[in-house]
Order: sequence, then structure tokens, then C-alpha cells
Amino acid sequence: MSSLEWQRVDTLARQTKRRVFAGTRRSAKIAAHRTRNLAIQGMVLFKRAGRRLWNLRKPLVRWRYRTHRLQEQLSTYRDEWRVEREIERVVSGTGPIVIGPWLSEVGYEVLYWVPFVRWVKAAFRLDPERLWVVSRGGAGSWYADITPHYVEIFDEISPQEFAARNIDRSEGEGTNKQFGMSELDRMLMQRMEARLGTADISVLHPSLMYRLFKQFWSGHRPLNFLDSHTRYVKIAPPSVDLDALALPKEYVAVKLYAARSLPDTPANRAMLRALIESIAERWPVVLLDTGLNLDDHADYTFQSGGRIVSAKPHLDPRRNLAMQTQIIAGARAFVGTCGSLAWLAPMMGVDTTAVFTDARFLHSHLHAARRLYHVLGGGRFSPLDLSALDPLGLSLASRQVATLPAGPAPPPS
Amino acid sequence: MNVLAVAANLAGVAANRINRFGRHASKRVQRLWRAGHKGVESSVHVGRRAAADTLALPLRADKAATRTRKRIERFREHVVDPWLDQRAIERDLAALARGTDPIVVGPWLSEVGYEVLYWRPFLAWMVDRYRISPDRLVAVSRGGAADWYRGIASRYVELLELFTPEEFGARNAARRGSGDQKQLAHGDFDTEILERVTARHLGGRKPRVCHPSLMFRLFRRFWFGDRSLDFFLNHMRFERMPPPPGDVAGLPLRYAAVKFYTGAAIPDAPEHRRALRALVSRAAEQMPVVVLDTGLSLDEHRDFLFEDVPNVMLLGDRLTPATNLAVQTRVIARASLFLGTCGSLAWLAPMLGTPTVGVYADDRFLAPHLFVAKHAYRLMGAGLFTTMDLGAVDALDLIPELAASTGPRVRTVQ
Repeated sequence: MSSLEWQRVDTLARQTKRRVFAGTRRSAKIAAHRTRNLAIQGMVLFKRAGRRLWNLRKPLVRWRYRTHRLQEQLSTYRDEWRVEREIERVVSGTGPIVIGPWLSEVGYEVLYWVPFVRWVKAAFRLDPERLWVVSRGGAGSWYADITPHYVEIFDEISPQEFAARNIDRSEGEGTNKQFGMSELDRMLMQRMEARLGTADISVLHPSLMYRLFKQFWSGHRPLNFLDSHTRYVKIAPPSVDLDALALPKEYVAVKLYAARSLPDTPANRAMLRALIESIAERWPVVLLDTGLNLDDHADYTFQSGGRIVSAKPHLDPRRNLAMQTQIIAGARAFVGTCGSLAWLAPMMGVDTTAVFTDARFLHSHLHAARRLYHVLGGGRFSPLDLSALDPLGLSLASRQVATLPAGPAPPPS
Repeated sequence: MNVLAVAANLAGVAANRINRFGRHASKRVQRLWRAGHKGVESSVHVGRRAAADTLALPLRADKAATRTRKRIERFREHVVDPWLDQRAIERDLAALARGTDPIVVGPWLSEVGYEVLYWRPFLAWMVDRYRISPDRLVAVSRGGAADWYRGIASRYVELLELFTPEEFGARNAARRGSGDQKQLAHGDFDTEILERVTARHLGGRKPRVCHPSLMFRLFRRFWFGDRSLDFFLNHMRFERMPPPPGDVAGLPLRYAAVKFYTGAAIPDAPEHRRALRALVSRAAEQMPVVVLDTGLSLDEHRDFLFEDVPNVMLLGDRLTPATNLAVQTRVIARASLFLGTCGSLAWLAPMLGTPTVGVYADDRFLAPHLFVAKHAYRLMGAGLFTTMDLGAVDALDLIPELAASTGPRVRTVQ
């Protein structure tokens, strides 16, 4: 065969081969494409599914978060209901009810405990004759509209023993607040049983109030919660004989003690000294420093003389709160550390300046007090943040040159 | 004789026995009588008591029912209703967040204080909670408040570019007159603003609206004391505000920014003017004082001026209606101290890191805001915030400088 013929055969063979395999090649190419597309599509689908799965987490997280929040709220309500049931159990029956014994701070007693007891009495329509208040320092007048029966703790145990056992209690419980029944409480209850001649007594213990209001102080319950568990009224002062004090006709009562809101620092001491001097330039000052170390707040001590009178020599432990209450009630104004008797003074219609330098632990109390005094229509309550004066270059310095000699302030225990 | 004696003895014994028997018998009869009487008495008592108890049953049941009803009512009022409100608002917010439409946040027409202390942290929370891109948000406010929305909304529309200050003031006053200073509902003025914003800034694309009424409705119960601090903090995101860029010309290196205005916290009274004047004078002795007087009547508050006090400078014409808040923010951010009425910019200053003294004479309407502010500043690590009650200062003449001042009275912008 000639080369031309061989060429034709070769061309024919190639053409035949191309014709035979063309479809196959196209199919293979398409198959490869489709496979690749499928892989990509699979990847896309996988990614989408992954994203959907990941997004499924959102409602789950939200649901878990909501459940957690609801559980928290429910536990708050459960605690509240538990306390209310306990109160119902305490007040049921016809036997005497011991209210107290109050062993912790004066501030909590005035601002929360007394109004709480007043609410219990009103809500459960309790006969005042059934109620026996147990407190210390002659605080009976604060409860005068609740019950005529007041039992003085210092009639049962000496102030020294009380202070020692109360410190033990605070250390044992890790807090000064009465969140549970302590040995001291039990001992006082036994004395009450002996005094009343019956073992059939119910106890409305301060722990109920502390447990109930803890939710408010920690921000879990609103202010209305406090409103619905308290009754505030103006307080009438006791009739205590203050002749021995020879009080001036018009005076300003001052009670300054070391606390977390007004720590005992040289700067604060100087500022407070200047404050007293400044007030004394206008009006006589009656210092309500008791000299009694009954709790963890030690009074700032300032030397008296001239227009500054100290009630200290006349204050005996049994009647110290009654006398202080009476002195405040007769004052033109009250100036004191924000806490304790500063919460009481406006309830007696006395204009009050509550002094502090650190409000961190006061927020919820100030929040409650601000609203309460406006509603109650008592004396004007004016918080004075001493730390605000410094940036302004303002001082409480006296206009006169005379400087008040100040005794060393006892460190707060 | 013996027989007789025996008989007599026997008779005596018999008589004694009879006597004793009689005594015993009578005692027994008496005892029986007493026991019977007591039994009758006690059964009468028991009967009476049972009757009384039975009669008291409906009363006790009624008391228990009343107590339960009251509890349920209280629970509904204080728990269920607020929760339902909250859910409804949260659903509205979730609906807003869906999609890609632009979201107009505002228009803000009420007080500066609420905008700074509540609206901004609320928006920050909303953006974070519903993962909304800031690119979708368009903040609408007045006075050049753009810096306050940085990081929250990528766009800001100035209301005083949409309306003249006079027109805005009049329309806003009309809004306040017909309702409340707080934007509790979407009003006609809001609708008009939104129409203009849509037409001029969004190219006609209809936006979704996050109206301030949502925030006011959500927190109203908190302000009234029906919701807890926990609830409030769960719907807020408190963050410090970065200092705004740019400087205000002509300010000293170290100065105190002062802004006192009339309002519920400091009513316009001679004794307050005197006390404020003394405060500003005292501050001016320490460092130069820059008074943030706007001279604008955009709301019901009027500024106290202290132009004749030495070492005091006014911002004067550096404040224009459309930029006054921006300039005041810059001045406060660079100040060493802010002293002002407790409210409005006094809430802003600590967020900018400036130590602040908020002054008031009446805290009746301030209590919840002070409570919030203290917590907010702690959470965001803000500048020192303290308050001064003029009542405390004045009542006892605690700060001699204040009582000693007898200078001419300050005037207010009318």
C-alpha cells in the first residue's frame, strides 16, 4: 500500500476512534464535572447543615438562660413564701409571742425590724397584749404603738456579758446580722419562758426579717416588696427625765461613729472635728457618744466643753437608747454617721444630716430611706457625702480660729 | 352497870360510825356534785367552744380566702403583669432585630439625663443581646449627640438639621404639653421626623423603629419601685464612653466644668442661687471655671449663669444649637472636675471619667436615678461621682463659704 493509502487508513481509523469514543469522553468529562459539583454541593450542604446545627444552639442557650433566671426568681419567691409561712405559724394560736430578741445593729432595728413587726401585727391582726418585745438599751418607745410589753435585755444579763456573748455570736455566725437562732437567743428565750411562766411561747425572730429582706438588699426584689412588708409611722419619743443633762434650749444632736461608710481615718477625724466646730459656732452641740462598746461600731470621741456637751456621763446602758431618742427628739437638727440613729431622727420629725464618705454599703438603705421619708413626711433627710467637698476645695473649717481639742478616737473593733 | 357502860360505848361507837359515814357520804356526794358540775361546766365550755369554732370556721375560711386572693392579686400585679409587659417588649425588640432593614433608634426628644443614663446603655444592651450590626442602626437625636452613640449606631441624624431650632423647640413643647416629657408613646412629631429621616437619609427605604417608648415602658415599673435592680441591670450594658475627638479652642489647661440649671432637683429660689454662686466662687478660687451655658430653650430647664464671678468663663457663641451637646461633652471630658445640677450632663461626666459632684436641693424625683447611677458607675469603672445636698449644707451652715457669700443674685436665661 502506498503511503497515501496508509494515510487514508490512518485518518479513517482516527475518525472512527474519535466517533466511537467521543460520547464516552464527553460523558467522562461531564461525570467529572458533576462529581466535582457534587462534592462542592456536598460541602456547601454540610456547611449549611453545620451552621443550622450551630444556630440551633441559640434557642437552647436562650432557653437555658431563661430557665436559669426563672429558677433563680422562683427560689427567691420560695424563700419569701417559706418565711411568710413561718410567720403564719408563729402568730397562729393564742399564746404570747416574743418579738426578738434584737441583738444586732440599731440601724436595721429602726429602719427595717420595727416597721416589719408593725406590718406583722397589722397583717395578722394580732392582739397587742400577746406581743412581748425583747430588745436592749431602752428601745421600748420605738415599739410603743405595737405593744405595751417591753422586756429589757439588760435586766436579764449585764451589758458586759451581753457585749461578750454578742461578739461570740457575731464571730460564730460570721456576721452581726441575726440570720439564725444563736445560743444567746436561746438563753434569752428561756428567761422569757420563766418570766411569762409558760413554755408555750412563739418567737418572731429577727432572722425572719433578715431572710425576707435579704432579697431586697441584694437587688433581687424591688422597693415595693419592702413597702408591702413594712409599715412606717412617725415615732413618739419616750418620756425620760433629762434634767441631769441640763440641755440647752436649742441644740444640735450629734452622733458620729466609725463604720464602713465613715471609716476611722485621720482625714475623716479631722473633717468630723471641723464639722462639730462648725456646728458649735451656730448652736450648742450635744454629743451622743455612749462610751458603750456593745457592737462593732465605736463612737468617735470629741472632747466636750463650752458649747459642746457630751451626754456620755448620763447615759447608762439600760436607758441609753431611750435617752438618745429623747435628746434627738428635742434637737433642732441631728447630724450623724449615715446609719443607726440617723435613720430614726427623721421618723421623729427632726431634720437630719447623715454623713458618710463611702456609700458603697449604703445604696439600698439610702434608696429605701429617701423614698420612705418623703412618703412619711418626717424630718428632712439629707445625706452628706464628705468626699464631695474635697474636689471643690471646700472645707468644714471653722470661721473662728478656736480649735476644738479632740480625744483620740477608739479604733473600730 | 357494866352492861349499861358497854351499851353506851357501843352506842357511842355506832354514833361515831354513823357520823363518820354521814361525813364521808356527804363528802362523796359533794365531790360527786362538784365533779358533775365541773363536767357539766366543761362540757358546756367544750360545747360553746366547739360552737364558737364552728361559727368561726366561715370567718377563718373567709380570712384565708382573702389572704390567698390578696396574694394572688399581689403576685399578678407585681410579677405576672410586669413579666408579660417585659415579654411583649422583648418580642418587639427581637422582631426589630430580624432582617437587614435599617433600624432608626429614636428620635430622642426628651431629657439629656435619661438619654445618657438609660437610653444609651439600653441600646448597647439591645445591640449585644440581639446581635444587631451597628451598620443597621441610625441614631436620631438633637444637639450633636453623635459621640454618645459611637460603637452603637454607625449613622447619626441630627434633628436640628431637619428642623430649625425654633421649630424643633416649639414642636417639642407642643408634644410635652399634650402628653409627657417622657416619650411614652409614638406621637405625631415622631412620625414626621421619621418621614424626613426616611426621605433624606435612607433613600426612601422604610426603616424599622426602635422608639424610646420601648425603653420607657420597660423601665417605668423599675422607676416606680415595682421591678428589682436585677431586672434593670439585666437590660442594660454600662460602658464607659470614650472621650470624643477634637478640642474646644480657648480653654485653660486645668479647669472645672460647671452646669447648673433649674429643675425639680434645684428649684429656682434665691437661697439656691446664693448657695450655687458660693459653690462656683469657691471652685473658681481653686481653678478656672468653664460654665456650660447654652442659652437655648430646647426644654423646660433654664441655666444658672455666673458670668460676674471672677475666674469664670462662659462658652458663649462656641455653643450652637446643632452642636451644643458635642461641645459640652468635649469640655466635660477634658475637665478636671464637673460640678452641676444632679441630672442631665452630671450623669454623663463620670462616664467620661471626669470626677463629678451632683448638687441637688430636693431628691424627691432623684432617688431611683441616684440608685441606678451609683451601681452603673461601679460597673463601668467610671469617674468618682459624689452628691451634695444643698439642704444639708444650708440647714447647718456646714460650709462657711456658702453662708458667707452675699453677692448679687445670679440671673437665669429666659
